[in-house]
Amino acid sequence: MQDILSPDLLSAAHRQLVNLLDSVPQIIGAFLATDDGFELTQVVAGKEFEPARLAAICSSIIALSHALVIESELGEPENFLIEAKRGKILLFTIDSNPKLSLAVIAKPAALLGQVLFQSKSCAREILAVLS
Amino acid sequence: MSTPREIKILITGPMGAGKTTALAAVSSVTPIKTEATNSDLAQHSKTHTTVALDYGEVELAGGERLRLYGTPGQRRFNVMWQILAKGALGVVILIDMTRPDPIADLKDYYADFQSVIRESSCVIGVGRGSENSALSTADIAAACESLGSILPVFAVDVRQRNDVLLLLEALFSQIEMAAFE
Repeated sequence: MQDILSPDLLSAAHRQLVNLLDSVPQIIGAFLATDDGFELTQVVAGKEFEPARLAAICSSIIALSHALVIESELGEPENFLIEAKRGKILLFTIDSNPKLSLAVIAKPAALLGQVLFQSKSCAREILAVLS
Repeated sequence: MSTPREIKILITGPMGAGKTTALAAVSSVTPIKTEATNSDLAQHSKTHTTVALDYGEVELAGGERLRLYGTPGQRRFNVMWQILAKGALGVVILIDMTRPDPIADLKDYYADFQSVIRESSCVIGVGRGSENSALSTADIAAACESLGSILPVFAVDVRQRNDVLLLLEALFSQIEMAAFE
């Protein structure tokens, strides 16, 4: 695969993920991937993930969720939330060029509003970096 | 045992083989697509690629309704392959003859969908580039035999509704025959 982002842009985006994890201790992972499921960069705290596999699955879920929202005539989707027994996953599309996906994984005790707010801010910052 | 009247069919094959196009060519409903911008231009030059599934429906001449699920082509989406394979009664494998090794592609997808193929039915559609390829449909059929299966192999233009319907009718015949065995 050709390089999607220059090293400088990738580094700048990575710093935003670091800032996100610093801002909310209950966030245990943040992953940036291409729209079509290639991992770009990740920051994790205390737990190992398989970023390549996660990137592909996130790509599929975002695309499926997008199709559901469109079928339901709810307009443009903004973000997707999955709550599980042992954590929460939030998925965002970053409307940059190229379009990217941001996945944020948080502990179950994390305050949803805080994770959502900080993750949205992170997505906006990454969009600003890439624009 | 009778054949169910609503049948789930998978359409799979490598990236760019024409799965989305084939499904759209026959579907009687507006297909559901899950496409993303293709960032792997070294693999294929197309602008978009399916990342979850395509969905469509078609009714055959005998009134049987097929629910068609197109898979993503790339191996990194194999989680979706496993999800989509559940409950499928037949598989169409589309082969792109412009790719470096179409027979290796056939063997890969045959192996990956083996569980569905073993329990149900499979046909092979030889699509893009078949007219200029050093390989023929007979070579693809021989490769199927080497895998231990005698499978119908058709040269198809996936843009043509009748070509895709031919694949689906052949697959449905296999499913019906299997149901009566």
